[in-house]
Amino acid sequence: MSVRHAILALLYQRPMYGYELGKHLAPALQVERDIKPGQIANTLARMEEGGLLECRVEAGDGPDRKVYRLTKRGLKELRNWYLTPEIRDYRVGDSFYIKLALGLLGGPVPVEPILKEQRRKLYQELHAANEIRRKAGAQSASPWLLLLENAIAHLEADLRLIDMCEARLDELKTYKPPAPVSKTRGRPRKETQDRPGGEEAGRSTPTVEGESAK
Amino acid sequence: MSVVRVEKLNKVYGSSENPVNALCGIDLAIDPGDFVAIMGPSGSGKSTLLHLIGGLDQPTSGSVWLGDTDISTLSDKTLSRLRRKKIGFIFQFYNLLPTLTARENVALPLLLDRVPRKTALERADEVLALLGLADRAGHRPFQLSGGQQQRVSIARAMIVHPMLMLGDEPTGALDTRSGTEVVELLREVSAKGKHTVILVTHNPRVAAYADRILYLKDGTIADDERLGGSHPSASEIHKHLNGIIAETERKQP
Repeated sequence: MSVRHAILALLYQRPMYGYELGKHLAPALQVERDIKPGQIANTLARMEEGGLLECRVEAGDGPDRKVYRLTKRGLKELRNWYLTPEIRDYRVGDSFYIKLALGLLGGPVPVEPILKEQRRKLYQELHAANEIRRKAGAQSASPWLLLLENAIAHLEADLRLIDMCEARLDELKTYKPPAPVSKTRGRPRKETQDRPGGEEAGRSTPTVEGESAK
Repeated sequence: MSVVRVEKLNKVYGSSENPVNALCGIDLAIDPGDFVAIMGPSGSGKSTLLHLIGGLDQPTSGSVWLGDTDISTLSDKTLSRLRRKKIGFIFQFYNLLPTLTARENVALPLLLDRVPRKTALERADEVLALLGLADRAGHRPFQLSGGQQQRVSIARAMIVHPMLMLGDEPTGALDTRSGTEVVELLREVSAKGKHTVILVTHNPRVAAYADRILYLKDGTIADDERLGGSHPSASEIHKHLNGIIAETERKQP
């Protein structure tokens, strides 16, 4: 979550003072919890220091308040942010992937029911998402609906992946993981140290490609 | 009573030397008003099952009951009459007659059943209006988008008040948005008119609209899952998306 960019985007709409920004941040970021005033104050101070914002002290009914506005630099930063594509994180740490990869090694449960249970669950979720979407109606203007579409598209993709796994299961089951690579400990051996670039070579010696896979 | 009951259904294609077992001993019962999706990889027997349920093909052995009629014993003539009166078909490529208007296409099943033309066309207009297509009644298929053509073909399927509506990849030729509209329409039609709908689809998003998913593999039912209702665990998605829920509920006091 980028509080910094949310602040820039809100200040692009109009200059605001700190308390106002705080009130608008949570709805703008579409999160429920409030963002701590301290965090906002810190971020604002850092952004001002970095020349992204400028602030003017205004006298009001109550105590003086600091009104923040974008600088040219801040505007440039905001533009760049909008035009920089966001890449989703395709993690190897994905929990279903790990389960599947471990299951393929052989375990107390065959892979088929693992896929089956996963598929059932995904269909329940997708059914629920479809229902919400249907009730919300295609006409709803809320950007929230895009988040729902996002969830639906991902569930759909996950289901297609399950189908693909199932279709390729016979192949997948033949996979043998490479033998674990043993690393040399302590100081590298002397002869490797003598060669130019010896340290690099020393590290890679025990893991000759292909040999470990056999 | 089940709308559809299938018992020990087998279908073998090809020669006796090279038999291809498309369906192997399927047992199945479908309740009235259910919206069912049949899924499975290509060649798993989905379309064969749908065709047998719809009486478009004859089983090698076993029986298919529509209500209290065993359709596997009927003559071709009786069967085609039953198909026209009791089953609405929706195809991937709509199968509308290009020379007829939307209204005439929808009225066709009634016209074939010798309903007077005026009555049939009036009924067609009613169904088209119900599906939001009143202003398209005079258009010919080529003047309509894919999504609109499919909605016309749903109207045609509905006009006889069928006991069963069958769809073979009804969204297969449509983009995501039109496909979603078509399946949501089917879902609505099924809920309002208590129509029983069975769809064959490859598309998980479309299948997930169903109340029940049958998963076919190598001619057998590999999984049979009921969606929604009994699974409070599906509320996880609600948790993630509670903003939408709140908003939806605000709109529907």
